[in-house]
Amino acid sequence: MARLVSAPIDLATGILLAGLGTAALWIGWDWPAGSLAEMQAGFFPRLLAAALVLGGLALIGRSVLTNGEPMPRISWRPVLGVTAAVIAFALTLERLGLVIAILTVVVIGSTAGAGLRPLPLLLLWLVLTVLCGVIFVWGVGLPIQLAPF
Amino acid sequence: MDILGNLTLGFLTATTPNNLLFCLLGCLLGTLIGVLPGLGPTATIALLLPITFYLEPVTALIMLAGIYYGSQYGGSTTAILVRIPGESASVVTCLDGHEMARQGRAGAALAVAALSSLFAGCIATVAIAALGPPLAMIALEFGPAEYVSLMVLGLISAVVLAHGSVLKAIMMIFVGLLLGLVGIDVNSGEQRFTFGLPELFEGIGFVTLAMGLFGLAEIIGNLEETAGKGRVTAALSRLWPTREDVRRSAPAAVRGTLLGTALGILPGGGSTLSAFAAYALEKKVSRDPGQFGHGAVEGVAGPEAANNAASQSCFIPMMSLGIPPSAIMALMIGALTIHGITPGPQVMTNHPELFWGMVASMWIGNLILVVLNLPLIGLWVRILNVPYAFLFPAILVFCCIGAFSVNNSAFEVILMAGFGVFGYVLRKLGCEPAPLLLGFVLGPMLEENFRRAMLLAYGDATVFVTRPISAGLLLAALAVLLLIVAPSFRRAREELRE
Repeated sequence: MARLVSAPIDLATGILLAGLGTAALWIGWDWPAGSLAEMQAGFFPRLLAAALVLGGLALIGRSVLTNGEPMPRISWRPVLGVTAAVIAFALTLERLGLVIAILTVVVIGSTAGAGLRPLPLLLLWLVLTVLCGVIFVWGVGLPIQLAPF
Repeated sequence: MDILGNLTLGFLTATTPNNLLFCLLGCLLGTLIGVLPGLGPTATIALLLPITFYLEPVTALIMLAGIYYGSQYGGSTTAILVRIPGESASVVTCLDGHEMARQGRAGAALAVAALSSLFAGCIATVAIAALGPPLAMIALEFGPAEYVSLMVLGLISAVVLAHGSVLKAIMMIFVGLLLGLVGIDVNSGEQRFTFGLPELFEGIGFVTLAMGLFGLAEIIGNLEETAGKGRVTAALSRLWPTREDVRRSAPAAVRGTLLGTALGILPGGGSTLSAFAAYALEKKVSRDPGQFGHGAVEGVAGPEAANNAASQSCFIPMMSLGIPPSAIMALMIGALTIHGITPGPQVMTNHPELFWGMVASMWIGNLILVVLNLPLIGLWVRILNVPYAFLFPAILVFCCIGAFSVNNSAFEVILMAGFGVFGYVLRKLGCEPAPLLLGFVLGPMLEENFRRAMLLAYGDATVFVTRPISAGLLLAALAVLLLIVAPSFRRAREELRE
């Protein structure tokens, strides 16, 4: 089968890398580079960013010339579930305390997988809360509140 | 010099009941810390520093050293069991150690890691005693140019780690180097890639990055590949390594030990670099390199031995020259100065019991660690029997708290979530995160030394090839690169022809 781009994974990687490099170049546009003898803050980042752009372009070029596997499917459920659980933890921890933050991670997180029934979920929450409370708050002394009050 | 007399003095100092007790305490504490993701040895030593004021200097140092290598050991345990590297040196252990665990050989992986570390510890202790003082002088020969070349060699050998495309692996190193630059530039005070966020002024935390790229991405990948049920690890075949495992890992441990002892002496990233280099070496000398990444026992034995040997031999430059090779060592120097002892060449003559007591305690500490950990292996592998539906939310919670504890800020947790997604994307694109992490760790040091080397040479870039040690290192890097590129180049040409 003739496709325009025979190695789509390489193409995507190339675009990502070249994009990262371009963004780094653009962000660091105003930083002074100095000379080789007296390098300033902009020298090294620009060197790296240029290398990324070149490498990215090479990958894009290669994607037309060589054969590769088709683009893999992305499964949104685990990506979104895990990410949402972690962000929910970050948002709740300082306002509502560890007990509730752990509950949100367990509830949202388990939707990333096959899910847990209410009773096992409750059990997991209890065990984790006690464990983390004892180790991190009481044992290590992290400045975390357990509950909002 | 009378090595035997010195070692005897050392063992007499280290085996007083009091020192033994604190060595045990340090190892125990270190292992616990290493197993908990996030809470690194640096933070713990910093927390415990004031307490050591009430201890004898030798005892304080012995306990802190115990925490240091105990945590390294604990870090390998989580790397093998759940693929979360506790600190930078155990990134390599994730690759084959976790793969072994999936095949039901977690017990063997843990035992090989423990025994290789003990072996490395025994050899490194003797090496330090015999060669310590003269070796320290070699480290003095290393100027900025040599460091740059050494780091280039290390980064190039990290490419060997990847099984996929060489170009992608090299690009991952560049991405890592770039991520390492985030924060305020130490020389000019310029903010780089901080987006004005004060949380990024001090750079991205290693723990945040590693837990996102490895821990979270691993969970997402696991759930995806098994449709949410989680991977069923193969039934535990047996707890202990087979005769075959021992036969294969013994020479790997020897090579790793030699490499680790040599690289550990050099200040800066010694133990991380040596673990990566040992893995590359094992893959190169192996008759069947295809096994690496699929549970090759040499890939656990070599890096673990190198890591442990290096973390011991890095005490040489600290004790003899007063140069701290890492943040942890800097804290240890802090502990010494609290007691009015200035590290430097005079320590060995003025406080022989301090230097040799610590050398001896390292060996004892290693023994304690193995004795502590071998019985625990049975307990650790049972964690793998917990159904994944329970295990992964628990890992998520530990990762979240670990990321939070880096700076006590929720920002790190959100950053980790971002790196989790990034890690998943890289995984999908066939890019491996291990070279990225090495680039991240070495990035700031590479820039600093490159800058210094150029300043000293008035911008003359030929300095890297005119200085003999530097030229030798660069030649080695070139040889490694050719070794990697040659077969993959051939393969690419064959693909084109098809």
